[in-house]
Formats: sequence, C-alpha cells, structure tokens
Amino acid sequence: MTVGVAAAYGPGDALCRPLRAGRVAAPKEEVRVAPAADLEQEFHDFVAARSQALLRTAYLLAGDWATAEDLLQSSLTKTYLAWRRLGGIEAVEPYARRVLVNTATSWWRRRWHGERPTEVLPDRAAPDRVEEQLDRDALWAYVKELPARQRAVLVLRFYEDQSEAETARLLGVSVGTVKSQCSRALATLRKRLGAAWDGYGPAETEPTVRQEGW
Amino acid sequence: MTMLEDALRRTLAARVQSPPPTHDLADRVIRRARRVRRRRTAVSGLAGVLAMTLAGLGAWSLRPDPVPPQPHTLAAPVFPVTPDTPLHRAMAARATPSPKPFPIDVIMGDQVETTDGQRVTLPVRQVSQVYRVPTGWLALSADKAAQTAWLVRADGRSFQVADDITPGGLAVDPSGVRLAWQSGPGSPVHTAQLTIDGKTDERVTPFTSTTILLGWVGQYVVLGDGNKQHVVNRVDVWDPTEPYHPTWIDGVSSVIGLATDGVQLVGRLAGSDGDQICLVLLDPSGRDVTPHDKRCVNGVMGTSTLTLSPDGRWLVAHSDVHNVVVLPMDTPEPDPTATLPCDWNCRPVWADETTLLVPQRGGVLRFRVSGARDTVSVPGGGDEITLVPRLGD
Repeated sequence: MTVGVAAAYGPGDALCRPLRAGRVAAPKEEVRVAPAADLEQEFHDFVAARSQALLRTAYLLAGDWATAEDLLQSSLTKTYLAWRRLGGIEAVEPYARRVLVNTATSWWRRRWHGERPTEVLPDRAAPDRVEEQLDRDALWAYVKELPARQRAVLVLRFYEDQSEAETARLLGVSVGTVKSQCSRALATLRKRLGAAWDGYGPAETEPTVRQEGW
Repeated sequence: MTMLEDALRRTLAARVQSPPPTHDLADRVIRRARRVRRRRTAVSGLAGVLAMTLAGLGAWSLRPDPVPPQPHTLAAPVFPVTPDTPLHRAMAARATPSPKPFPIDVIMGDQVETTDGQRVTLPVRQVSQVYRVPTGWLALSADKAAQTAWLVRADGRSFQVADDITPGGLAVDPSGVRLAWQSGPGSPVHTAQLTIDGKTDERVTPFTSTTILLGWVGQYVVLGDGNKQHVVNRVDVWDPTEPYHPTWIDGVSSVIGLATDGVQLVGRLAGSDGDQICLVLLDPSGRDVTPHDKRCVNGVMGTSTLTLSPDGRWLVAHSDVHNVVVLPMDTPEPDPTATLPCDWNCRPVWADETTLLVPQRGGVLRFRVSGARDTVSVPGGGDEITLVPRLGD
C-alpha cells in the first residue's frame, strides 16, 4: 500500500495530482460524499509519501529540526483544513509547500526576534573533507541569520531549484522582489563570509553585478 | 553560476541529508485539525451572540454626545465595499479591464477606501501619510509639532505605535514590517517591528545633534547630517539589526532607492540645482562606500522629489510645477519616456515595477512603462486624491 502511494505522489506526479476532499465528481455531475475514513486515508497516504521532503524544506526555513517539525505540522494542518473546506485542492503538494513557506515567514514576524542557538552539528566528515565541512557550517550559520523572506528565497531557488517565476508565485510576491531579495541575500552572505573566506568575493567572480547597478 | 551559489546548493543539500523520522505525523495533524475546527465552531457561535448584543448596544448608544474614544485602542469600523460604493462602481466602469487587477488604496478624509473591498476609518481626523502594511494600515497624524503613528487592523482595531514624531520623521521599510522614527534632529532614533497588535522589539539608538532620519531603503535606515538649517550635505546608511558605526558619505543629500541590482543604493548628489539633478551609486555591502557611477539628468527641477521604481529602472521627477517625467535609468543619458500631468504637491506611487499611479483631480492615472495609460475614476469628485503606498506586497 505504502509503496503504491509513494509512487503515486512521486516527484513527477505530486505536482499535478489533486487531493480530493468530501466530494468526488462523478459522470453527469453527480456528486457523492466520500466517507470521512476515505479522506483521512488519502491524507495519510499523502503525508507518508511527501512528509520527509517537506520536512527537509521546513528545516532549511526554520533552522533546526524541532522547529521544522512544528512548522510542518502547522502547515499540514492548514492544508488539511483547506482541503476539507474547499472540497479539493488541485496540486496538493505545491499548495502545502506554499503554506509552509508563508507560515515560516509569518512565524518569523511574530515570534523570532532573536537568533536561535546553533545546534550541535553532526561531525563525521572524512579527514580530507574537514575544511569543506567547516566552510559549509560557516555558510549555513550565516544563512540562518538572514531575514526569513530572504532565506526562503534562497531555499526555493538553490535547494528546491525553483525558477524565479515559481518562487515569486509561491511567496506571493513579484519576480522583481525575488530577484532583489536573492541578490541582497547573496550580497549579505558575501559580506559576512568575505573576511574569513576570500574565495567568495563578488567583484572578481561576477563583475556584471556591479555594472548592472543602473 | 558563482562559487557562492554552488556552495549554497551543496550546503543546503548537505544539511538535510538525514531528516529525523516523522512518526504518526498524519494522525497528529488530523487530531490538531479537529481541535481547530471545534474551536472555530465555538468561536463563531459566540461571535453570533456577541454581534447581536453589540447591535442592541449600538442602537442604544446612538446619541448626540458620543463617548470620547479610548486613547490607545480605538474601534474603527470597517465597511465592506459593496457594488454600490463609488470606488467599486468606478473600478467596474473602466473601459479597458486590466488582466491583473491592481489594488489602489485612497485616503478619503479620515477613511481609507480600497479596491479590495474595505473602507477603514482612521483614528485621527487628519493624516499626513498612510501606508498599507501586511498587518493593516499605518497612519500618521498631520499635527504640525509632534505626530502620532497608528496601526489600523483590517478588523478595525487601532493601536498607537509611536508618538512625539517630528514631521517627516517616520520611515517604514519596504516590507512594511519595521519602522523607525525620531522626535527631532539629533534625538535618538527608535526602531520597532510592527505586529498584528501594535509593535514589538523597540530599540533606541542615540545619534549626534545634527542627525536626521531621512527614510528607509532596502534593509537600511537612511540618516542625514546637516547644518543648522537642516540642509543635508552628507548621508549615512545603517542596518538597524546591527550596531551603528558611522560611515558618513559626503556630498550626498539623500538616498532614493535601490539600484537595478537590488544591492547598491541610488543617492542624490547634494547641490543639485536648476534643471539638473545628479545621482550616484553607493554600495553599502562593500567595504568602500565611495559614491561612483555618477549620472546626471537634465530637464527636471532640482528641487523635485524623486521617486524610483521598485526595480530601480525608472525615475520619476517633476519637470515643472504641473508635470512629472518618467526617465529610464538603464541608459547613460536618460531621456524622458513620458510626461504626465502631476501638480507640485501630487505624489506618484509605483504599484509595481512597471506601473505608476499618478493622482489626478477625481481620478488616478495609471501609466505603464510600455507607454499605455488610462484613468480610473475614484470617489471625491474634484477633490485632490492621496494614494496609499502599499508595502510588503
């Protein structure tokens, strides 16, 4: 059962598969009410198939696994309530993802006014990769300090590989805003990394950024 | 693709290689959803009872001498804009329907009327400025000495968020979440974050006796330093999430917006006069904030207020006391793309990167940088219209 459902909500299928709610359209516009148990089972299947992927995104938005799980639970609750209320959501995974991102940014506005303590990092890098691991740790620490909206843009663009247009749609902002937030976030990272990590200097690697100023 | 972007991809992927298992997540979510639904049901029932009670009390309280409002939490009524309201009719009557409806909020006396369905009464009779922010509207009173800022929520409740603000001494960040204010030149600058019920995280930063709060561009609060007549001849930019370290930039009188790269700032050179203004780029993210890439624009009034589009590509300035010009900023010698009627005291507002709204008598001129333009009638007849900038869209 689980295998079949996971395949149904796999990466290719999840983006377009609707999650039905209380009503199922039948031929000749006949509508029947699905039993509540069916709805819950369908939701169980979706969560079983996609919760790990959504949890990864939630972690990158929240910064630690405990908050990420809380964030995911809140977002899935909103998704489930909307699914029941709206009588079906086309493309449930993008819907849940959008709720996740917007919940993360609104949480930051309401609750996160200080930095979170950095968790203990897993330190199992091979000896020849220690420096690389340290660089990643530094970069991740700076990513976590970015404003929530900027961090969300980076996660969507560089982890989820979403286009600028899709990122704008998910965040409910314009493409121009995505570009400026992304550019600002990268500039902040370069600035903070600059002293310790010269390899990320902006002018040498990407001179066009400065020249595009006007 | 830069090294940093590559490193980001690797770092983010590495951080989430081993997520913890999520046991019984669906069950927990469903239980939580049931609790939420039960609570909503109970609250809506209570709301119905409360509404009936208030309706009765409201009828009783309609008397010639009303009770004065509470100083800090005023209940401002919010009326839905029905198909009979003038603004709705005006929007419906537009000759060319927009493929994407653009929102306009208009100040009408002590009310804000919106095209997305609300009419909100402000807690002050005369306002000098209103911003649409994610948590509602931020209204600034029009007092000449010390002004007061109020957050007005969509449900009509108002919260005073700041007072004793010198005229022009309030700035809101482009996301509409943070604000800064000052009581007068040289007084400390307060910063705070707007919340659904007022503000939080207020901080006070002292400054020297001639420092003036000028505005908020990107993530930076813009400060000016002037002479005794408060003529600014140097500016500084400060990220208020970090401690302030002065790095004054001489010869620049203001910062008008973000450049097209979204990182650098566009500053206005001090001493621009006659029919020419000069702009420069400033890079607050680098170690050197020396102005560079000076660019001068002819044919605009040196005393004009300058308005830069959100993407930094278009500049709006008065060419004379009755008109503004729209100038492309991605060419070395900008020539006006369009001239639009706009009296000296009218304030154009960018609705998005390519759409400029210009208040007219009895309407709003919508101009797209592609050249298309049309006019939307709004209530108020021949009255002057003041547009509400929307932040955080």
